[in-house]
Amino acid sequence: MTFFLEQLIIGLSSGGIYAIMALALVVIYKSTGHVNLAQGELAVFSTFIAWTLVQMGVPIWPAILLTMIVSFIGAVILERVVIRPFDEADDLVIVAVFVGLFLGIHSLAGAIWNYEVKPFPSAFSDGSVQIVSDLSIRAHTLGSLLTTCVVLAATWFFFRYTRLGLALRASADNHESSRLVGINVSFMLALGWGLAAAIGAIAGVMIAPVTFLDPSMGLAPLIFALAGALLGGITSPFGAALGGLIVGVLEAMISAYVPYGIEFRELIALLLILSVLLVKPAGLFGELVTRRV
Amino acid sequence: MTTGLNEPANRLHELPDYRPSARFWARLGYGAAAILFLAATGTLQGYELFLASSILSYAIAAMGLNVLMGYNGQISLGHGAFFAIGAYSAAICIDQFGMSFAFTPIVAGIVGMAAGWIIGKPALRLEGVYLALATFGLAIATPTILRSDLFAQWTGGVQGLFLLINPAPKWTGLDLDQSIYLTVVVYFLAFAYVTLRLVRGLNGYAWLATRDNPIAARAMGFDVTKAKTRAFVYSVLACSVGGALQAVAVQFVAPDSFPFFLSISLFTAVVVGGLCSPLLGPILGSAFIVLVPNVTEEVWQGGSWAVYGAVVILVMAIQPKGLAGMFAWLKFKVAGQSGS
Amino acid sequence: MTPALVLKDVSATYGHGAILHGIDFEVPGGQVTALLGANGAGKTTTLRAICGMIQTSGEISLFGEDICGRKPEEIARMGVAHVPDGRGTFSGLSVMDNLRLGSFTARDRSSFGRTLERVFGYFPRLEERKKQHAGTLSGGEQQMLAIGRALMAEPRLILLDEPSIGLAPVIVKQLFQILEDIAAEEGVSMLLVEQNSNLALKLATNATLLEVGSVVARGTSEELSKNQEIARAYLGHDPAPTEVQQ
Repeated sequence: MTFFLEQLIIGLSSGGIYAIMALALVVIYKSTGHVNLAQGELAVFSTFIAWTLVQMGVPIWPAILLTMIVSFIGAVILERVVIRPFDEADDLVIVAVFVGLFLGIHSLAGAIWNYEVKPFPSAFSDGSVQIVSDLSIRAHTLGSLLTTCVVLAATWFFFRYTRLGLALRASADNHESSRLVGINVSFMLALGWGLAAAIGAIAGVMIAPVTFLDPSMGLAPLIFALAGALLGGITSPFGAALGGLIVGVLEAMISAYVPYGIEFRELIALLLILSVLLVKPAGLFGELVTRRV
Repeated sequence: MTTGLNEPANRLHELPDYRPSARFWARLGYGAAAILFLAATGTLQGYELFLASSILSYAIAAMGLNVLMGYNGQISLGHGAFFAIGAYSAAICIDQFGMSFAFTPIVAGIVGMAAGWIIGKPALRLEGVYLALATFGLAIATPTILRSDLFAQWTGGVQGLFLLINPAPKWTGLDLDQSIYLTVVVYFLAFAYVTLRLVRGLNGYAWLATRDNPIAARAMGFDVTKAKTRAFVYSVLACSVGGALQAVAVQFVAPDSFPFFLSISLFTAVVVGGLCSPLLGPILGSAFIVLVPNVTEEVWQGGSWAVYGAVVILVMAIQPKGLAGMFAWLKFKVAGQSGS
Repeated sequence: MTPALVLKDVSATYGHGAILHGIDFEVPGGQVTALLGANGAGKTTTLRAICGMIQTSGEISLFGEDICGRKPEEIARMGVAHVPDGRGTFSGLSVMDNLRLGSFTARDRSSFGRTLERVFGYFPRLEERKKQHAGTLSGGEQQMLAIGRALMAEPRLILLDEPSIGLAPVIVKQLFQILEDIAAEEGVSMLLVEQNSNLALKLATNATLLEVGSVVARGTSEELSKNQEIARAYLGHDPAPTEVQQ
């Protein structure tokens, strides 16, 4: 029983990370209509920036905050310069551009920080926390879970109760009407990217202490986040977050209880993606975008 | 040069010149090229032959993927999986069954198509970005499956398999590299012929029609599902054969040879070479993905990905017809003749 | 009073060909002006030109200020509320959110509550459904929401594009009654594009008639309702005397 609870908490913790990455994917999808294939790479790049700051002596939490700001600005620039020109293009062209972005960011990270695996300090203490008699969880795992909950709550609050959040939602819903009520849609597109990058940065610094930091760190989390986002509905922030949590728990359970489970985690994610897309593409909570001839 | 930023993919296709004189010269050209490829067996040396073998193997894969993405408009970020399936099929045939390497691509093709059929059935029901996402997942999942201990008995697990390849019989006078190269060329020429026949024929039109407007195509009597399936199966066949040949050329397979980036490389080869260019595009594209790492890896480790990325974006922005498109543009400027 | 809107020699294109060819007309301040014409005459294009959504040349002044060439969001902030054809509701958002968005540019944030009450006064149905997703409302309700949203902006000029389209006659009658009330009580200037010329001319004090991108008639509603041109433009032939006087 203890083992189960332990795995459950671990699953929720990684699920929380997938949830916030899924959220980042949803934010960009809702505001621009594109799936950001480079989301993982952006998160990794941000994490490297945080690493550099820590190496320079900045304490971890200020480093994370600074990283979020830098990521925000960087993503806004990226959206304006690389993505915006292709706004009206075909699916294939857009996918190609995102692939190009993916490769470019990955290589840039490798070029600046090389491909050696680096340890990354946890934002929380290194020890374990005892919950009940024989159940103890690593501080990082719990802290990570808590942080992602805070991020989810903050994002929900932002979208629901702030003027800017309303503008972002409006812009995602209807570009033209948004302009007619005075919203600068162009700014909203960039804002969506900036937010997604900032959220992704948090995901990155939560993952890195566990998996160690290297340019390829973002691949697996991205596929799990993608599975979660699709499962919950890529148009629904709440759904995507829930989807991420489910995927996290599923991953933990399969790794723990199914023989060879660990090796096939990505395959399970793939099968999940396929199933969702085939059975209910809108996901559990999303809306289907109908296609006009 | 037309700017490509918002040019829809469906404007990438141009009809070939069907005038008899044009066809005569084209056939002569193809024949000459074929002879050149074959003759290279004698003129190129060891490592050059290996590079050429690699380029042609990837070109076969690219030809197939081009049919799928360029002509039929389906986006795949995961064809590395089929490349891997072909490679491992060939490897297992050689390693476990002692098959002569020249026949392994045929087995690989059959196995690949079987896998393609299984994966393709669900995949074909997806479109656009959704298909891209699913295949993206496939590309990420592939290396982990290959590394698995579950199949290690056949796949050699993490360490992979070293392939013992026997060169052609002594009487031919060909060494190992030459034997391999010659085999690759034969398969390449066969695929080139088949691809050209397919895209220039009714299949090509069916693919284009279903790409540009599947609903209208169906209304006109094209069997959309069949067309999509054929494109997919052909792409899988080509990738499997290409993978098998590449495995033979390298004489080694391991899970690390088929990372996520392989799928991206194949995607890059097609996009950079030129979507909708059935033959020249794949050749140029695969030359790009084989030669660029050779040059850049010495200067900058991992830099080839950056070059791929930058070039892909630039191609999309400036000239979506890729290198083949630029080539055609040059030809137009130099010869001053009209194409179609 | 400065006219709310003055268009001088305004031409507009959608990229392939010119839709409007040098049109001139005015919307007097505090009054309702109708813009009439058959399908394809260029009425919606005119509204989009005013809002800055398409390429326009010529002079467009809003209460004396030139707005030609400005971006839609700027023009909205200057006090123009556009109720586009098709309603333009934010279908994924709630009714309340739609209304909040209307007052996005309102200069005086504290008057939100009072304006909201006035809007609910005109459209009690919206208050009943304020938590619902806008996409689940009926056509008539969505039209009310669109107009309500426009009112929330406390605009100086409201542009209405075919408010009657797709609605049952009974609803249309209700709607136009409410529009009459709004015009009388709010003192806001309105430019009403309508295919249903009878309704439009009843509500409006002035009218302009467009035909294939040019102005062919202009005047008070009374003048135009007796005018043969309208009948010809709509019916395609010269009417019998009785047909015109409705």
